[in-house]
Amino acid sequence: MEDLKKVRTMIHLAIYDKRYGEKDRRIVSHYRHGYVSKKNMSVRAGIILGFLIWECVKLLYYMMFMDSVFLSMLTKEYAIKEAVKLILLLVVFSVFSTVKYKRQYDTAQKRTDEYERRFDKLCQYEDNTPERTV
Amino acid sequence: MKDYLVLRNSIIKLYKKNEPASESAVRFLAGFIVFLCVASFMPYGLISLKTLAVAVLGGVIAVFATPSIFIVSAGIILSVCATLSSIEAGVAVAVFAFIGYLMYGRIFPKESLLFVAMVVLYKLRLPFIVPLIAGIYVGPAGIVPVCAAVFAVDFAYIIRQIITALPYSEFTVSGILQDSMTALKYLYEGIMSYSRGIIAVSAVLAVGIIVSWAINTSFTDREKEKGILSNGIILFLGIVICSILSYTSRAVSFGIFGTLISVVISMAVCYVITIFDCVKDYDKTEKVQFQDSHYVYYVKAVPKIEFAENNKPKKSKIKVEDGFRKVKKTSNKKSNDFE
Repeated sequence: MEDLKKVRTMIHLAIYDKRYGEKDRRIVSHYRHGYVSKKNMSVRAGIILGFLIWECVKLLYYMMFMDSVFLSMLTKEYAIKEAVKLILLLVVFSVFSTVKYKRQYDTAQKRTDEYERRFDKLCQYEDNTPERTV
Repeated sequence: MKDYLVLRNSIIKLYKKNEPASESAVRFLAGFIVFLCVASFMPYGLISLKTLAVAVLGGVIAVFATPSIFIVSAGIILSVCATLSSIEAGVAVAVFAFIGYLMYGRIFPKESLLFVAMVVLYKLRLPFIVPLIAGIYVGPAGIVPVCAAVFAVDFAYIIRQIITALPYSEFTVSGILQDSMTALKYLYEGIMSYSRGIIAVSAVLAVGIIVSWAINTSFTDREKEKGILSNGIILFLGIVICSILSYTSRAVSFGIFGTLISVVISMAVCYVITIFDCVKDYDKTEKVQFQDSHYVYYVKAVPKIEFAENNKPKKSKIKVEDGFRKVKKTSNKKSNDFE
Protein backbone atom coordinates (compact mmCIF):
# COMPACT_ATOMS: atom_id res chain seq x y z
CA MET A 1 0.00 0.00 0.00
CA GLU A 2 2.91 2.27 0.84
CA ASP A 3 4.39 1.59 -2.59
CA LEU A 4 1.11 2.56 -4.22
CA LYS A 5 1.14 5.94 -2.47
CA LYS A 6 4.71 6.44 -3.62
CA VAL A 7 3.80 5.60 -7.20
CA ARG A 8 0.83 7.99 -7.02
CA THR A 9 3.05 10.82 -5.77
CA MET A 10 5.58 10.11 -8.49
CA ILE A 11 2.83 10.24 -11.13
CA HIS A 12 1.68 13.64 -9.86
CA LEU A 13 5.25 14.93 -9.94
CA ALA A 14 5.82 13.59 -13.45
CA ILE A 15 2.56 15.14 -14.73
CA TYR A 16 3.51 18.49 -13.22
CA ASP A 17 6.99 18.32 -14.72
CA LYS A 18 5.59 17.52 -18.14
CA ARG A 19 2.85 20.17 -18.16
CA TYR A 20 4.09 23.16 -16.21
CA GLY A 21 7.48 22.37 -14.69
CA GLU A 22 9.85 24.26 -16.95
CA LYS A 23 7.56 27.28 -17.41
CA ASP A 24 6.75 27.59 -13.71
CA ARG A 25 10.37 27.31 -12.63
CA ARG A 26 11.30 30.04 -15.06
CA ILE A 27 8.61 32.29 -13.56
CA VAL A 28 9.30 31.66 -9.89
CA SER A 29 13.05 32.05 -10.35
CA HIS A 30 12.31 35.80 -10.20
CA TYR A 31 10.88 37.80 -7.32
CA ARG A 32 7.19 38.59 -7.85
CA HIS A 33 7.74 42.32 -8.21
CA GLY A 34 10.74 41.77 -10.50
CA TYR A 35 8.84 39.35 -12.74
CA VAL A 36 5.84 41.67 -13.10
CA SER A 37 8.09 44.69 -13.75
CA LYS A 38 10.07 42.81 -16.38
CA LYS A 39 6.92 41.71 -18.17
CA ASN A 40 5.43 45.20 -17.91
CA MET A 41 8.55 46.69 -19.48
CA SER A 42 8.28 44.25 -22.36
CA VAL A 43 4.58 45.10 -22.84
CA ARG A 44 5.32 48.84 -22.75
CA ALA A 45 8.12 48.43 -25.29
CA GLY A 46 5.67 46.65 -27.58
CA ILE A 47 3.05 49.37 -27.15
CA ILE A 48 5.57 52.13 -27.88
CA LEU A 49 6.81 50.28 -30.97
CA GLY A 50 3.25 49.70 -32.24
CA PHE A 51 2.33 53.31 -31.59
CA LEU A 52 5.44 54.57 -33.40
CA ILE A 53 4.69 52.40 -36.45
CA TRP A 54 1.16 53.84 -36.59
CA GLU A 55 2.56 57.38 -36.21
CA CYS A 56 4.98 56.71 -39.09
CA VAL A 57 2.10 55.55 -41.32
CA LYS A 58 0.10 58.65 -40.36
CA LEU A 59 2.97 61.11 -40.89
CA LEU A 60 3.92 59.47 -44.18
CA TYR A 61 0.34 59.89 -45.39
CA TYR A 62 0.29 63.58 -44.43
CA MET A 63 3.74 64.10 -45.91
CA MET A 64 2.75 62.59 -49.26
CA PHE A 65 -0.82 63.70 -49.73
CA MET A 66 -1.37 66.71 -47.47
CA ASP A 67 2.01 68.40 -47.37
CA SER A 68 0.54 71.76 -46.36
CA VAL A 69 -1.11 70.18 -43.30
CA PHE A 70 2.01 68.13 -42.62
CA LEU A 71 4.18 71.19 -42.13
CA SER A 72 1.66 72.84 -39.84
CA MET A 73 1.32 69.57 -37.90
CA LEU A 74 4.91 69.54 -36.77
CA THR A 75 4.36 71.67 -33.71
CA LYS A 76 4.85 71.27 -29.99
CA GLU A 77 1.07 70.94 -29.48
CA TYR A 78 0.89 67.98 -31.87
CA ALA A 79 3.78 66.26 -30.10
CA ILE A 80 2.13 66.82 -26.70
CA LYS A 81 -1.22 65.53 -27.98
CA GLU A 82 0.34 62.34 -29.32
CA ALA A 83 2.43 61.90 -26.18
CA VAL A 84 -0.74 62.10 -24.07
CA LYS A 85 -2.34 59.42 -26.25
CA LEU A 86 0.72 57.21 -25.83
CA ILE A 87 0.80 57.70 -22.06
CA LEU A 88 -2.89 56.85 -21.84
CA LEU A 89 -2.30 53.67 -23.82
CA LEU A 90 0.67 52.77 -21.62
CA VAL A 91 -1.36 53.27 -18.44
CA VAL A 92 -4.26 51.12 -19.68
CA PHE A 93 -1.99 48.33 -20.88
CA SER A 94 0.14 48.49 -17.73
CA VAL A 95 -2.98 47.90 -15.62
CA PHE A 96 -4.04 44.95 -17.79
CA SER A 97 -0.59 43.37 -17.86
CA THR A 98 0.06 43.91 -14.14
CA VAL A 99 -3.15 42.08 -13.24
CA LYS A 100 -2.42 39.30 -15.71
CA TYR A 101 1.22 38.68 -14.77
CA LYS A 102 0.59 38.94 -11.01
CA ARG A 103 -2.07 36.27 -11.39
CA GLN A 104 0.27 34.17 -13.53
CA TYR A 105 3.06 34.41 -10.95
CA ASP A 106 0.72 33.48 -8.08
CA THR A 107 -0.60 30.46 -9.96
CA ALA A 108 2.93 29.30 -10.80
CA GLN A 109 4.01 29.82 -7.18
CA LYS A 110 1.05 27.82 -5.89
CA ARG A 111 1.77 24.95 -8.26
CA THR A 112 5.47 24.96 -7.39
CA ASP A 113 4.69 24.89 -3.64
CA GLU A 114 2.39 21.93 -4.19
CA TYR A 115 5.13 20.21 -6.20
CA GLU A 116 7.64 20.74 -3.42
CA ARG A 117 5.20 19.43 -0.84
CA ARG A 118 4.68 16.27 -2.86
CA PHE A 119 8.41 15.95 -3.44
CA ASP A 120 9.08 16.11 0.31
CA LYS A 121 6.46 13.42 0.77
CA LEU A 122 8.22 11.25 -1.79
CA CYS A 123 11.51 11.77 0.01
CA GLN A 124 9.84 10.63 3.23
CA TYR A 125 8.61 7.45 1.52
CA GLU A 126 12.13 6.88 0.23
CA ASP A 127 13.60 7.28 3.73
CA ASN A 128 11.06 4.93 5.27
CA THR A 129 11.45 2.20 2.66
CA PRO A 130 13.64 -0.61 3.96
CA GLU A 131 16.59 -1.40 1.77
CA ARG A 132 16.14 -4.48 -0.38
CA THR A 133 18.77 -7.11 -0.25
CA VAL A 134 19.43 -9.35 -3.22
CA MET B 1 -36.44 19.75 -21.94
CA LYS B 2 -35.79 16.34 -20.45
CA ASP B 3 -35.16 14.82 -23.87
CA TYR B 4 -32.86 17.69 -24.67
CA LEU B 5 -30.87 17.16 -21.49
CA VAL B 6 -30.61 13.43 -22.17
CA LEU B 7 -29.33 14.27 -25.66
CA ARG B 8 -26.84 16.69 -24.10
CA ASN B 9 -25.64 14.02 -21.69
CA SER B 10 -25.19 11.49 -24.47
CA ILE B 11 -23.24 14.03 -26.61
CA ILE B 12 -20.99 14.94 -23.68
CA LYS B 13 -20.52 11.24 -22.93
CA LEU B 14 -19.63 10.53 -26.56
CA TYR B 15 -17.18 13.44 -26.56
CA LYS B 16 -15.53 12.32 -23.34
CA LYS B 17 -15.37 8.70 -24.46
CA ASN B 18 -13.17 9.70 -27.39
CA GLU B 19 -11.79 12.89 -25.83
CA PRO B 20 -8.33 13.09 -27.44
CA ALA B 21 -9.71 12.29 -30.90
CA SER B 22 -12.77 14.58 -30.48
CA GLU B 23 -10.63 17.47 -29.24
CA SER B 24 -8.21 17.09 -32.13
CA ALA B 25 -11.12 16.92 -34.59
CA VAL B 26 -12.73 20.09 -33.17
CA ARG B 27 -9.39 21.93 -33.22
CA PHE B 28 -8.68 20.79 -36.76
CA LEU B 29 -12.11 21.96 -37.93
CA ALA B 30 -11.70 25.36 -36.24
CA GLY B 31 -8.22 25.82 -37.74
CA PHE B 32 -9.47 24.67 -41.14
CA ILE B 33 -12.31 27.24 -41.15
CA VAL B 34 -10.05 30.09 -39.94
CA PHE B 35 -7.41 29.40 -42.59
CA LEU B 36 -10.11 28.98 -45.25
CA CYS B 37 -11.11 32.60 -44.46
CA VAL B 38 -7.42 33.58 -44.57
CA ALA B 39 -6.98 31.82 -47.92
CA SER B 40 -9.91 33.76 -49.37
CA PHE B 41 -7.40 36.62 -49.84
CA MET B 42 -5.51 34.52 -52.39
CA PRO B 43 -6.35 35.11 -56.05
CA TYR B 44 -7.35 31.47 -56.66
CA GLY B 45 -10.90 31.50 -55.30
CA LEU B 46 -12.33 29.37 -52.51
CA ILE B 47 -12.53 26.15 -54.51
CA SER B 48 -8.98 25.37 -55.49
CA LEU B 49 -6.27 22.97 -54.43
CA LYS B 50 -4.03 25.75 -53.09
CA THR B 51 -6.82 27.19 -50.94
CA LEU B 52 -7.55 23.72 -49.61
CA ALA B 53 -3.87 23.17 -48.87
CA VAL B 54 -3.71 26.39 -46.81
CA ALA B 55 -6.88 25.42 -44.93
CA VAL B 56 -5.52 21.94 -44.15
CA LEU B 57 -2.25 23.52 -42.97
CA GLY B 58 -4.32 25.71 -40.63
CA GLY B 59 -6.10 22.65 -39.28
CA VAL B 60 -2.79 20.89 -38.61
CA ILE B 61 -1.35 23.98 -36.87
CA ALA B 62 -4.49 24.24 -34.71
CA VAL B 63 -4.13 20.60 -33.61
CA PHE B 64 -0.45 20.74 -32.66
CA ALA B 65 0.31 24.36 -31.75
CA THR B 66 -0.51 26.60 -28.80
CA PRO B 67 -3.01 29.50 -29.27
CA SER B 68 -0.21 32.09 -29.52
CA ILE B 69 1.60 30.13 -32.25
CA PHE B 70 -1.71 29.65 -34.07
CA ILE B 71 -2.42 33.40 -33.99
CA VAL B 72 1.08 34.27 -35.21
CA SER B 73 0.85 31.66 -37.98
CA ALA B 74 -2.54 33.02 -39.05
CA GLY B 75 -1.04 36.54 -39.28
CA ILE B 76 1.96 35.34 -41.33
CA ILE B 77 -0.14 33.19 -43.68
CA LEU B 78 -2.63 36.04 -44.10
CA SER B 79 0.21 38.38 -45.14
CA VAL B 80 1.50 35.81 -47.62
CA CYS B 81 -1.98 35.20 -49.07
CA ALA B 82 -2.63 38.94 -49.44
CA THR B 83 0.82 39.36 -51.06
CA LEU B 84 -0.14 36.80 -53.71
CA SER B 85 -3.04 39.10 -54.67
CA SER B 86 -1.29 42.45 -54.18
CA ILE B 87 2.16 43.15 -52.78
CA GLU B 88 1.08 46.44 -51.20
CA ALA B 89 -1.87 44.76 -49.51
CA GLY B 90 0.45 42.06 -48.19
CA VAL B 91 2.78 44.63 -46.67
CA ALA B 92 -0.16 46.51 -45.10
CA VAL B 93 -1.50 43.28 -43.58
CA ALA B 94 1.96 42.37 -42.26
CA VAL B 95 2.40 45.78 -40.62
CA PHE B 96 -1.03 45.71 -38.94
CA ALA B 97 -0.72 42.06 -37.92
CA PHE B 98 2.60 42.97 -36.28
CA ILE B 99 1.03 45.94 -34.47
CA GLY B 100 -1.85 43.71 -33.34
CA TYR B 101 0.59 41.10 -32.07
CA LEU B 102 2.69 43.69 -30.23
CA MET B 103 -0.26 45.41 -28.62
CA TYR B 104 -2.48 42.47 -27.76
CA GLY B 105 -1.71 39.01 -29.17
CA ARG B 106 1.39 38.36 -27.12
CA ILE B 107 -0.17 39.60 -23.86
CA PHE B 108 -3.48 37.72 -24.11
CA PRO B 109 -2.92 34.83 -26.54
CA LYS B 110 -5.88 32.73 -25.34
CA GLU B 111 -8.37 35.60 -25.42
CA SER B 112 -7.15 36.39 -28.95
CA LEU B 113 -9.00 33.27 -30.08
CA LEU B 114 -12.20 35.30 -29.52
CA PHE B 115 -10.91 37.70 -32.15
CA VAL B 116 -10.46 34.88 -34.64
CA ALA B 117 -13.87 33.39 -33.78
CA MET B 118 -15.65 36.71 -34.29
CA VAL B 119 -14.03 37.32 -37.67
CA VAL B 120 -15.04 33.82 -38.81
CA LEU B 121 -18.58 34.11 -37.44
CA TYR B 122 -18.96 37.42 -39.27
CA LYS B 123 -18.87 35.34 -42.47
CA LEU B 124 -21.93 33.46 -41.16
CA ARG B 125 -23.59 36.75 -40.19
CA LEU B 126 -23.53 35.67 -36.53
CA PRO B 127 -20.74 37.77 -34.98
CA PHE B 128 -22.86 38.53 -31.89
CA ILE B 129 -22.25 35.03 -30.53
CA VAL B 130 -18.73 36.09 -29.48
CA PRO B 131 -19.63 39.15 -27.33
CA LEU B 132 -22.46 37.12 -25.77
CA ILE B 133 -20.08 34.27 -24.90
CA ALA B 134 -17.41 36.74 -23.76
CA GLY B 135 -19.91 38.37 -21.38
CA ILE B 136 -20.68 35.02 -19.77
CA TYR B 137 -17.34 33.21 -19.72
CA VAL B 138 -14.49 35.69 -20.26
CA GLY B 139 -15.47 39.05 -18.76
CA PRO B 140 -13.75 42.39 -19.41
CA ALA B 141 -10.66 40.64 -20.87
CA GLY B 142 -12.86 39.79 -23.85
CA ILE B 143 -13.52 43.44 -24.74
CA VAL B 144 -10.26 44.09 -26.60
CA PRO B 145 -10.33 41.05 -28.93
CA VAL B 146 -14.00 41.69 -29.76
CA CYS B 147 -13.29 45.36 -30.58
CA ALA B 148 -10.18 44.35 -32.54
CA ALA B 149 -12.37 41.99 -34.59
CA VAL B 150 -14.70 44.88 -35.46
CA PHE B 151 -11.64 46.78 -36.72
CA ALA B 152 -10.37 43.71 -38.60
CA VAL B 153 -13.59 43.29 -40.58
CA ASP B 154 -13.41 46.91 -41.80
CA PHE B 155 -9.68 46.54 -42.36
CA ALA B 156 -10.30 43.44 -44.51
CA TYR B 157 -12.64 45.51 -46.66
CA ILE B 158 -9.90 48.16 -47.11
CA ILE B 159 -7.41 45.42 -48.02
CA ARG B 160 -9.81 44.09 -50.65
CA GLN B 161 -10.04 47.62 -52.10
CA ILE B 162 -6.23 47.77 -52.27
CA ILE B 163 -6.15 44.34 -53.95
CA THR B 164 -8.67 45.53 -56.56
CA ALA B 165 -6.82 48.80 -57.19
CA LEU B 166 -3.29 47.40 -57.16
CA PRO B 167 -3.32 43.76 -58.26
CA TYR B 168 -0.16 41.66 -58.29
CA SER B 169 -0.35 41.30 -62.09
CA GLU B 170 0.15 45.05 -62.53
CA PHE B 171 3.09 45.28 -60.16
CA THR B 172 6.25 46.82 -61.60
CA VAL B 173 9.48 47.61 -59.80
CA SER B 174 9.63 51.09 -61.34
CA GLY B 175 6.16 51.95 -60.04
CA ILE B 176 6.70 50.58 -56.53
CA LEU B 177 6.92 53.99 -54.86
CA GLN B 178 3.79 55.34 -56.49
CA ASP B 179 1.83 52.13 -55.80
CA SER B 180 2.94 52.15 -52.17
CA MET B 181 1.70 55.72 -51.80
CA THR B 182 -1.66 54.78 -53.36
CA ALA B 183 -1.94 51.84 -50.94
CA LEU B 184 -1.06 54.15 -48.05
CA LYS B 185 -3.79 56.55 -49.14
CA TYR B 186 -6.41 53.77 -49.30
CA LEU B 187 -5.27 52.48 -45.94
CA TYR B 188 -5.18 55.71 -43.96
CA GLU B 189 -8.30 57.27 -45.48
CA GLY B 190 -10.17 53.98 -45.13
CA ILE B 191 -9.27 53.60 -41.46
CA MET B 192 -10.10 57.23 -40.72
CA SER B 193 -13.47 57.00 -42.48
CA TYR B 194 -14.44 53.87 -40.51
CA SER B 195 -12.92 54.95 -37.21
CA ARG B 196 -16.06 56.61 -35.80
CA GLY B 197 -18.20 53.59 -36.60
CA ILE B 198 -15.59 51.21 -35.20
CA ILE B 199 -15.37 53.20 -31.94
CA ALA B 200 -19.17 53.46 -31.57
CA VAL B 201 -19.80 49.76 -32.24
CA SER B 202 -16.87 48.78 -30.00
CA ALA B 203 -18.37 50.88 -27.19
CA VAL B 204 -21.72 49.09 -27.57
CA LEU B 205 -20.05 45.67 -27.51
CA ALA B 206 -17.94 46.65 -24.49
CA VAL B 207 -21.02 47.86 -22.55
CA GLY B 208 -22.88 44.65 -23.42
CA ILE B 209 -19.98 42.48 -22.24
CA ILE B 210 -19.55 44.40 -18.97
CA VAL B 211 -23.30 44.35 -18.14
CA SER B 212 -23.56 40.66 -18.95
CA TRP B 213 -20.46 39.87 -16.88
CA ALA B 214 -21.75 41.95 -13.95
CA ILE B 215 -25.09 40.09 -13.97
CA ASN B 216 -23.39 36.72 -14.39
CA THR B 217 -21.11 37.29 -11.40
CA SER B 218 -23.94 38.49 -9.14
CA PHE B 219 -25.76 36.03 -6.89
CA THR B 220 -29.09 36.11 -8.68
CA ASP B 221 -31.15 33.25 -10.01
CA ARG B 222 -30.79 32.40 -13.70
CA GLU B 223 -27.79 34.70 -13.96
CA LYS B 224 -26.60 33.29 -17.28
CA GLU B 225 -29.99 33.63 -18.93
CA LYS B 226 -30.36 37.19 -17.62
CA GLY B 227 -26.82 38.00 -18.77
CA ILE B 228 -27.50 36.71 -22.29
CA LEU B 229 -30.85 38.54 -22.48
CA SER B 230 -29.48 41.87 -21.26
CA ASN B 231 -26.43 41.64 -23.51
CA GLY B 232 -28.67 40.77 -26.48
CA ILE B 233 -30.95 43.75 -25.82
CA ILE B 234 -27.99 46.13 -25.43
CA LEU B 235 -26.39 44.81 -28.62
CA PHE B 236 -29.58 45.15 -30.66
CA LEU B 237 -30.53 48.62 -29.39
CA GLY B 238 -26.94 49.88 -29.52
CA ILE B 239 -26.33 48.67 -33.06
CA VAL B 240 -29.66 50.10 -34.25
CA ILE B 241 -28.89 53.48 -32.67
CA CYS B 242 -25.39 53.42 -34.22
CA SER B 243 -26.95 52.63 -37.63
CA ILE B 244 -29.42 55.50 -37.28
CA LEU B 245 -26.58 57.88 -36.39
CA SER B 246 -24.50 56.42 -39.28
CA TYR B 247 -21.78 55.33 -36.86
CA THR B 248 -21.63 51.75 -37.91
CA SER B 249 -19.11 49.13 -38.85
CA ARG B 250 -19.25 46.46 -41.56
CA ALA B 251 -18.85 43.88 -38.82
CA VAL B 252 -22.42 44.46 -37.62
CA SER B 253 -24.21 46.25 -40.46
CA PHE B 254 -26.96 43.82 -41.40
CA GLY B 255 -29.91 46.27 -41.36
CA ILE B 256 -32.41 46.48 -38.50
CA PHE B 257 -34.25 43.26 -39.33
CA GLY B 258 -31.04 41.39 -40.10
CA THR B 259 -29.49 42.56 -36.83
CA LEU B 260 -32.58 41.42 -34.91
CA ILE B 261 -32.45 37.95 -36.48
CA SER B 262 -28.69 37.70 -35.99
CA VAL B 263 -28.91 38.73 -32.32
CA VAL B 264 -31.80 36.33 -31.61
CA ILE B 265 -30.02 33.38 -33.26
CA SER B 266 -26.79 34.29 -31.43
CA MET B 267 -28.66 34.40 -28.12
CA ALA B 268 -30.18 30.98 -28.82
CA VAL B 269 -26.77 29.51 -29.68
CA CYS B 270 -25.26 31.05 -26.56
CA TYR B 271 -28.11 29.64 -24.44
CA VAL B 272 -27.51 26.16 -25.85
CA ILE B 273 -23.81 26.49 -25.01
CA THR B 274 -24.65 27.45 -21.42
CA ILE B 275 -26.92 24.40 -21.17
CA PHE B 276 -24.03 22.21 -22.28
CA ASP B 277 -22.00 23.82 -19.53
CA CYS B 278 -24.43 23.19 -16.68
CA VAL B 279 -28.18 23.18 -15.96
CA LYS B 280 -29.35 24.31 -12.54
CA ASP B 281 -32.59 23.58 -10.76
CA TYR B 282 -33.54 26.93 -9.25
CA ASP B 283 -36.75 25.54 -7.72
CA LYS B 284 -34.64 23.55 -5.27
CA THR B 285 -32.38 26.41 -4.26
CA GLU B 286 -31.33 26.34 -0.62
CA LYS B 287 -30.14 29.34 1.33
CA VAL B 288 -28.09 28.68 4.44
CA GLN B 289 -26.51 31.07 6.90
CA PHE B 290 -23.84 30.14 9.41
CA GLN B 291 -20.87 31.73 11.09
CA ASP B 292 -17.50 31.03 12.64
CA SER B 293 -15.36 33.29 14.82
CA HIS B 294 -14.30 35.53 11.91
CA TYR B 295 -17.01 35.44 9.25
CA VAL B 296 -20.73 35.11 8.64
CA TYR B 297 -21.36 32.90 5.62
CA TYR B 298 -24.41 33.35 3.39
CA VAL B 299 -24.54 30.26 1.23
CA LYS B 300 -26.84 29.74 -1.71
CA ALA B 301 -26.79 26.20 -3.03
CA VAL B 302 -28.38 25.51 -6.40
CA PRO B 303 -28.49 21.84 -7.38
CA LYS B 304 -27.53 20.79 -10.90
CA ILE B 305 -30.09 18.89 -12.93
CA GLU B 306 -28.72 15.47 -13.68
CA PHE B 307 -30.57 12.75 -15.51
CA ALA B 308 -29.65 9.15 -14.79
CA GLU B 309 -28.76 7.14 -17.84
CA ASN B 310 -31.24 4.49 -18.84
CA ASN B 311 -29.10 1.65 -17.68
CA LYS B 312 -30.19 -1.73 -18.79
CA PRO B 313 -30.67 -4.07 -15.88
CA LYS B 314 -27.63 -6.23 -15.56
CA LYS B 315 -28.02 -9.92 -15.66
CA SER B 316 -26.91 -11.61 -12.50
CA LYS B 317 -24.90 -14.71 -12.89
CA ILE B 318 -26.63 -17.38 -10.86
CA LYS B 319 -24.97 -20.53 -9.83
CA VAL B 320 -26.77 -23.34 -8.17
CA GLU B 321 -24.56 -25.17 -5.78
CA ASP B 322 -25.71 -27.73 -3.28
CA GLY B 323 -29.29 -26.61 -3.55
CA PHE B 324 -28.46 -23.03 -2.50
CA ARG B 325 -28.71 -20.12 -4.93
CA LYS B 326 -25.55 -18.11 -4.86
CA VAL B 327 -25.62 -14.77 -6.59
CA LYS B 328 -22.45 -13.27 -7.98
CA LYS B 329 -22.83 -9.57 -7.77
CA THR B 330 -21.64 -7.62 -10.76
CA SER B 331 -20.02 -4.40 -9.75
CA ASN B 332 -19.23 -1.30 -11.76
CA LYS B 333 -16.59 -0.25 -9.33
CA LYS B 334 -13.14 -0.53 -10.79
CA SER B 335 -9.96 -0.27 -8.88
CA ASN B 336 -9.63 3.46 -9.01
CA ASP B 337 -6.67 4.01 -6.79
CA PHE B 338 -4.96 6.54 -9.01
CA GLU B 339 -7.87 9.00 -9.04
